[in-house]
Amino acid sequence: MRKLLRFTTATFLLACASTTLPAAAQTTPIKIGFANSFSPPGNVIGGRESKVGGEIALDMFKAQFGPKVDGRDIEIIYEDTRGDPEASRSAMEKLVNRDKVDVVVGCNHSSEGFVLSRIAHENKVGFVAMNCWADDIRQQKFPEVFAVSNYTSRTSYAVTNFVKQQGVKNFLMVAENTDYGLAQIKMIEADLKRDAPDVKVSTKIINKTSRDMRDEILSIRQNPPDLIGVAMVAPQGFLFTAQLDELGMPPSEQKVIDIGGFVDQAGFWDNVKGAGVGLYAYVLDHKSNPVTELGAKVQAEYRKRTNQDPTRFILQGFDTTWVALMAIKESGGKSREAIIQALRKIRVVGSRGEIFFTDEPLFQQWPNIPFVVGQMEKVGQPPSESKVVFPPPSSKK
Amino acid sequence: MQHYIEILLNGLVSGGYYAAMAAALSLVFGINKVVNFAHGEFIMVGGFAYFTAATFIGPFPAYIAAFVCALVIGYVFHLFVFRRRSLDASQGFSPGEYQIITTFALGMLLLNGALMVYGPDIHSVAPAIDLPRVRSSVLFISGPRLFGLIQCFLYLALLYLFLTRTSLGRLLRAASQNPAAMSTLGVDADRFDRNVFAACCGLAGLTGAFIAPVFAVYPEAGAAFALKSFVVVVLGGFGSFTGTIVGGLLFGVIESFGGALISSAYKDVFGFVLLLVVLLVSPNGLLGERVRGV
Repeated sequence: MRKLLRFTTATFLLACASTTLPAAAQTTPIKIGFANSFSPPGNVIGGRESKVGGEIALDMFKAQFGPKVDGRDIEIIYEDTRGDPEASRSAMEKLVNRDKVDVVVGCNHSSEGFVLSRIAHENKVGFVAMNCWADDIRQQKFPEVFAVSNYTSRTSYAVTNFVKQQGVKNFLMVAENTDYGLAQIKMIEADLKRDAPDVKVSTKIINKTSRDMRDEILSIRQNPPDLIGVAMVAPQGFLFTAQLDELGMPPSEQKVIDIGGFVDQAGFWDNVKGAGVGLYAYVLDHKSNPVTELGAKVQAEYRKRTNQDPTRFILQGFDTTWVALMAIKESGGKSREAIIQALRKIRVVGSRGEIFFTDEPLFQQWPNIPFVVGQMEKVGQPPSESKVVFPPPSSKK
Repeated sequence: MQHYIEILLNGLVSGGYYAAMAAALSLVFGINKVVNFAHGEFIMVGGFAYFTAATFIGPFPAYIAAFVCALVIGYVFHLFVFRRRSLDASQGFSPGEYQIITTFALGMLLLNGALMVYGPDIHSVAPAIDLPRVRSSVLFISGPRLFGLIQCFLYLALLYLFLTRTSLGRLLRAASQNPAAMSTLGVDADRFDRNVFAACCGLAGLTGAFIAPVFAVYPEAGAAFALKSFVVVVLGGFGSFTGTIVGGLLFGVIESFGGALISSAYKDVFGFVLLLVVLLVSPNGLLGERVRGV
């Protein structure tokens, strides 16, 4: 009798387990890993703003398509990459192996992007890059890696054409000694050599931690170029612009173009004040490249949540998360591979236009990143309202 | 020639800032024998305190706020983490190791605290006095940088006079030379250490207020300041106040010439090469005293 009771209980428990296990698997949420720099020395401003963009994307997705996909909830797990390759590796390995995320979005620096894309490839998990510009990340041709981010050859295309348009004969590029800075100037140099061989190009590399760059500027002032291209991010870009002014080379008198996008970072005008007037900039969110209806809603939502004007990081954070969410919806979030397949075929309206991935000019890259070269006309002017000097190309490179 | 003079003056300007940044680090090592790895973050905290207080109480009282804010943090930290009993109880670590780890942790805490309170933005700070920019044939300097430099040199001069001409200054120097004798004379060593540590943190904070209008204020600013400060202090001789001033100026000039004439990519390298050469020739730095065992 006791044996029978034991057998019945065991059978009952087994039966319960066999019916509840799939249900438990069904209730496991679909997870999106969001790996970005939320603390120094990374681009914290960009990281934190993009996080809000990601949150808005998830909320809008749930409002539009319901809270679940295929009966499963969706959640975002945020991990801090700190702008550091080693921290990026830890963050990504945690997301992929411990949290078992279904897809990863993020990245704010190319040095992070190399690590994140490599781990995504090794673990066969989809990764949508947000803001890592180095073309080399795409040239690895990892089938799991997609990029909604701007890319260095896009910037190079803009700067090369701007240099030609302005009739520059002597062009100096000043870059921070990072993956981004070095790759950017190498690419512009090569493009100019090919497309404008008459232009004399010289370069100056500056340590990323340098805060006092007046000695470099003194040597530039000895032989001023027609145009200075600055491939730096904040705060170094702010300080360089202010110190140019201090040493008698303000952008209103000496042509200077911001290649690194620091004009778009919070605190630009507070820090450079009048020194920023006349500065040219590679602008990724100019008003002449209007956002989509969805983008306008994202901007309004961001203003509502933070009482601040949205920057490009909000839209980038939104778009990467939105693309991942739509791929999850298309694939039902069944597996990592299914999401990767969905990403390959995706064609979805994001905040800045219709997003899709092609293999030209770069592997699995959204080619149509909107940009203009604008000029800052007055103190406090947002880059999105700067005077357009070089129009966006009508077709991709 | 004019170009070289310009580079030299530029280097001296940078060097003045470096010396001021490093002074408190040198003092706290000289007197307490503590290597404060949170030094850069105390400079950053001072900058933020100045930035905040200046909007409410005006720029000059804000200097006091910067000093007091950093001083209080240093005092509380020393009281709970750093006192002799803690050092003695730090089993498994030598007191030196314990100091390094705890000050490093404090630095991380201050950095992340600033991020939480102020966010990652880069804040611009107006100088207390808006001096006009100077433009001569050999020197271009903005008003805020000039005012900051004047403050730094005044601060260094007053600190030097305090250490050499006042009885309290002499007491501090005596304590640095023979802490055991000080205890024998009945001075509460723990309290003495705490007050000196807190005061040096306060001075680092004050420096942060001086340099804030030039280098802007943001949470991760401390790392760059700390790096320069450590090089200057080792170059000048750990614990030597005069050495810190000389080291700072020399470091600024070497960086300036190296950056302008050779390559700005290796700007930091020039300082470190100088440091290595000085340490090879004089292991105690330029003006550091040789430590004698009993």
